[in-house]
Amino acid sequence: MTARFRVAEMKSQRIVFGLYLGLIVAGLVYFSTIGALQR
Amino acid sequence: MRGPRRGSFLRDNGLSLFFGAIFLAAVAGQALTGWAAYNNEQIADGLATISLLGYLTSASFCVDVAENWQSEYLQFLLYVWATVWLVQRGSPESKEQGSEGTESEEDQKIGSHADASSPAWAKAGGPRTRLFSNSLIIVMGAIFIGSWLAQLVAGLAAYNEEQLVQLQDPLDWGQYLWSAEFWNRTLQNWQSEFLAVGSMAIFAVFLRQRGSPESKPVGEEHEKTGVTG
Repeated sequence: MTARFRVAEMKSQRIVFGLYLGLIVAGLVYFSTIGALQR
Repeated sequence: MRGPRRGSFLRDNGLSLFFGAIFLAAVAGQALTGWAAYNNEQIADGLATISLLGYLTSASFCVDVAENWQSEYLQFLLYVWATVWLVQRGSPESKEQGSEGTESEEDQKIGSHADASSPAWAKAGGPRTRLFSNSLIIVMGAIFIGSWLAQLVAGLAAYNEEQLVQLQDPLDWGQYLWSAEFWNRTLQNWQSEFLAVGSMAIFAVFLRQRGSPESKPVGEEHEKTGVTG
């Protein structure tokens, strides 16, 4: 297996990794900004 | 022996996508039921009900989600860290006795011991390799700290909303950080995580789940440590 092929192979895992990290960071920013607002 | 079959996005990422999907379903359920419970309390207190959007942007919803997130990330963070330094004889999740610690560069395929397919930062040496060597704990730790801080700020806002409704004095940061409310929310989550992890470590010595890598193979002896099926 060539190195280039291996990178392509891992592409879908990188997408899922990014989705999770993005979701978590977005959630933390949301909870600590919107959640800090008092009515 | 069959090699790994690849090619389908869904199949390659089944575990992550399955948990991502049930996470979204559970958080949607939490939002709807939390909204209903919140409004029931508002009615009981003779106060106005709020819209779903109002609930989703409330401190009450945010603190409930954040306090659960922090405890889960603390659980995994501690498990990853503790399994470096401590062993459980007979557990599939544990290393063998004698290999406690961060292990040699050769064992870990670092620097000159890296092979052609090792990640670039494992080969690089120096600070990049040190950073990459601890990247799982760093990221899990950052999420734990971030969600605990989110619990603190949202918890303070939610607590003070309630105080004001009851015509009580609101708290400031320092007061809330040391309040029974903050630590009760925190510790009630931590205790369940620690119990689950501790029991899993010892249950897996004597119990099996056929086909799971979290378990030893069904026929493996109880004594055997660090083998997964």
